[in-house]
Amino acid sequence: MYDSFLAGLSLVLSFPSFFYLLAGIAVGIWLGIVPGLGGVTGMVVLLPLTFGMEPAAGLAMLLGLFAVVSTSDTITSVMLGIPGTIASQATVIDGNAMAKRGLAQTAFGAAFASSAFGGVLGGFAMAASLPFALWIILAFGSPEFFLLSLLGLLMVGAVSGNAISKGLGAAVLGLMLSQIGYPVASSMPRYYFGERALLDGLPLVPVILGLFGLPEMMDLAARRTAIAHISDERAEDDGILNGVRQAIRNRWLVIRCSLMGVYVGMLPAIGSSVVDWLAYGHATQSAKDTSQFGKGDVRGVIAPEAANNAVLGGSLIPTLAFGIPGSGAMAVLLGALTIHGFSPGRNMLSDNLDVTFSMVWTIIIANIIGAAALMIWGRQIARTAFIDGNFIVPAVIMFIFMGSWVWEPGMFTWTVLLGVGLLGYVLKAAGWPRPPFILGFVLGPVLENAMSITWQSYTPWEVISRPTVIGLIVVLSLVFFFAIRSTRKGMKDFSVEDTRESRASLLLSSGIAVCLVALFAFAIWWALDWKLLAKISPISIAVAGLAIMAFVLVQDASRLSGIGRARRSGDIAAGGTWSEFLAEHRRQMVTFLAIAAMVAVTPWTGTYAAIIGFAALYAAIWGRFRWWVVALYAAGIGLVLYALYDRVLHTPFELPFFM
Amino acid sequence: MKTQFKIKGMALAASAMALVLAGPASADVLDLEGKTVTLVHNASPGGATGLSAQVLADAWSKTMAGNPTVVVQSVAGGALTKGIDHVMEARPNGLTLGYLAWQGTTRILDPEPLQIPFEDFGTIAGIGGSNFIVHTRTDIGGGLEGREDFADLESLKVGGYSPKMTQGMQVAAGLDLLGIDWSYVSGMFGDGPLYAALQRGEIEAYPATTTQYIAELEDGPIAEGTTMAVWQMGPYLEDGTMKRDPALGDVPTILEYIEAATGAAPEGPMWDVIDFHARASAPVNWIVVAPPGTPEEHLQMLRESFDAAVMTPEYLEAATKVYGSEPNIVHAEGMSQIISEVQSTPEEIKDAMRGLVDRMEQ
Repeated sequence: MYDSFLAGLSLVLSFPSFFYLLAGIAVGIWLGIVPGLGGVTGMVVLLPLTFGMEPAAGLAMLLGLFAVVSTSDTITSVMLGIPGTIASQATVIDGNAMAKRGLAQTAFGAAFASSAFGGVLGGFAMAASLPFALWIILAFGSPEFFLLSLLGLLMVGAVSGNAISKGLGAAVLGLMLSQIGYPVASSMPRYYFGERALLDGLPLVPVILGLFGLPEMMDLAARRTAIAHISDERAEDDGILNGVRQAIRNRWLVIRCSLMGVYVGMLPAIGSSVVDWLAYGHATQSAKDTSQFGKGDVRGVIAPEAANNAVLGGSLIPTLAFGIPGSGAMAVLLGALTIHGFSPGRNMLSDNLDVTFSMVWTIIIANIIGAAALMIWGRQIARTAFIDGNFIVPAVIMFIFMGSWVWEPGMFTWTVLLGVGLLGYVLKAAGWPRPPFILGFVLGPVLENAMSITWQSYTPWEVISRPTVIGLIVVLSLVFFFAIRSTRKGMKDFSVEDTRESRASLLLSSGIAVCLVALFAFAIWWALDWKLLAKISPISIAVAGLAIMAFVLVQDASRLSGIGRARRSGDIAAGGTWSEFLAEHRRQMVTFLAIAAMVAVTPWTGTYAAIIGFAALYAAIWGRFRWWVVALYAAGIGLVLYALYDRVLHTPFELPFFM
Repeated sequence: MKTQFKIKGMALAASAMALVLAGPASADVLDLEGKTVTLVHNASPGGATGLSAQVLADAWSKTMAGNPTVVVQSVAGGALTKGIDHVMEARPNGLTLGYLAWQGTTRILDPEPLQIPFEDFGTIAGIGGSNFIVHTRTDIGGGLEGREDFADLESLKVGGYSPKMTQGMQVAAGLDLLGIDWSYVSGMFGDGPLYAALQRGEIEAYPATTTQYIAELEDGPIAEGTTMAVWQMGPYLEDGTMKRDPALGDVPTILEYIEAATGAAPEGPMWDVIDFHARASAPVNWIVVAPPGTPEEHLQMLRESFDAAVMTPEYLEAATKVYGSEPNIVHAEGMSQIISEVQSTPEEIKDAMRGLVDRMEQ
């Protein structure tokens, strides 16, 4: 094994493998920064190029690319408040808050150092775990997956801050929306309204970009400032090295979250989409002082970044040993292995062990080089926090919309993006934390799949007599206990959404709850006649949703009556007024309507004209730039559309009506 | 009324014809010189569909008149219908072609709004992958000493991707013919997850691809005796017999196995289901099509250039790696016949399939 370990290193360091590894890293860094693209897109584009390469070189390029994406995606999460990829969702909460406080460089330093450490530890842990990795994968059957998914859902408490009931409400809404389309164990499509596009459910990329990206851009447009709220160039003490020192100071958190990343990564489908939330939840629950979470606590950046880079090492094991690709990236990697004559299975852990170890070394080396490069550039990148937001908004809107279009081309995708964007903004305005929504949306299908297989494969006794199930129930109970304790003790100052509670926001919150009561009741009524495996999950979710909505309504009513009492006792400003609330959100809504207009005209004008037109009009009217700046800006947007999305990614654009 | 599929023989003839006809493009063939043709597939980026489309695109760009650049584009979503609709609605200007996951034989069970008029496409060809085997544990039913013991099982827990997986239906129907009580566990997408579930004991058997048999099973658990291949399922050949994949050695076909186990040729609704899938589903995993309205001359050029492309050694080498064995090519005429047959599937076969799906979902 030791010989294979060294042989793997020599495969990576030999020419031309190392050259291709560097090329992959360069592309990966760039892809992570652009919202919506991510590593899978890059791997799909580069895959055909690897057909004629030596296997080690091709795999080094693909894995090098993918390994650094979860490091560079931090930039988008921190600077824009938009997850660069699905792996950096949790970084948004505190990373973006740090950037707004002028601490972007510190966030970068901490994130890159944690990412590098997580990636390296992930690689070594994966190598060390090979002898018992097969046992782990085979020991975790569907009942264990179900419990692990529940464990992930328990993190709702940790990512809801001081709005637990609304967080639960958002999570159950995410779960409910994940029920659209074909279920795994039934041939009966659900809640699709005769619309073919809904048969596979709502697409994940536009949901994430819409939920976080659009509200952030609406806020930035409304503020008419730079990303950073502070007027100084940067906050005192801000610096890359300060961030690195913070990561070292929190080294045990880094180690714990890295190991969490490796072992959660071994579990297909749960992996990268959930691990950053698990790590974030662990950081909040294990911290003594939680008052700064949500406001820019560096531990909220360190934990998810360490975990999401370690995931890749873990996810290689089921991919190579069983041919189980837990993510889109691993599916592409499987394709690359196939075309180079490798078959996943036990031979990857015996005859081709050197190739397997070359992938481990690729991950390790890529993480070190990627983090070092980003630390060097981090200072320059952080300066964008002080650029006029009017330059940023149209360009980011283009990346958000085209990023979602790349995954599922069509107006349906943009409609989902727009709809979820509005939902995200309304939830934010009403004080409903958005992270639990994503957690529910991502975990819904995993939960249902595990539940269906457990239902079909096991008897109740077979489930409860499994030692791993018993162990996981103990872990679940402990996590639940600590979640309750930390929520009751110290989470009252931890606010996920930066929302000012007012009479109007409470009424909006109650309005959302009433709408959701109707939605859940409708969902139950519609599902009653379905086959058992099609209806059990949505009905269970909807019933839970009704109970949670009742709790939200009671809580909102109690707070509204508190405001009423304050007013009656003479504080006439208590709870604010509707006109204040509307004034607070007017500009955001105007921005949203402008974006909606861009989407609405696309079927007639085509993609190019709609996006370039939006950018030009925004820069001219909202940004009030000079005409030549507007012209240059619009030309730049057009060039990116043509060069990147048309020529490189071959995205099928919507054509104007006359073509 | 078994459709006669022309596999290698016809491919050779067609490619020879293509070579004879090669030369300056006809005036009615759309000019593709210097242009980019997009080969749209309807699965997620990456994966087997994207990979096999890429292999085809590389070979086809060299034989297509005008030698255009051929790029592969994923248009995923809508349970594979989004990509199909995209090609269906594309302009017939030669710049968009489809490489679409077929699933026609189970799609006919969908509600009316979800039906696809495949016959409207300009059919170019169909491409099929490898045969499937029934891969089972040997420690079930008191222990299986040999393949023949399988038929004596009282019950079996079978795994599959979904209740509408054609090979899952064939296995379930075969078990019915053998009198074995079965239950079905769905939700395991691909050979890897199914094999892992088999090892965990969540399922006792599943339809496995020849690719997995060669790469993992033959020299592994099957050689060790912990699992076995019971029968293989594939398309029919010209002579009406089911294709036996040479890579699968002495594994009998489903027909041979049932005949040997029961002493009689199988018949009835369950056999009709097996037979239907062998005729209309097993030969084709992906259909290669042009948008409706594509000029006939251009379509003919596409068919001929496709036939030439899939006979090139480079394509065959790359495609064999992707599919696990040499791809099964169904030429335009055969593919049109399959589409026509599927669109007019008798209600009795649909009802038999619906019955199986209902039982799988219990």
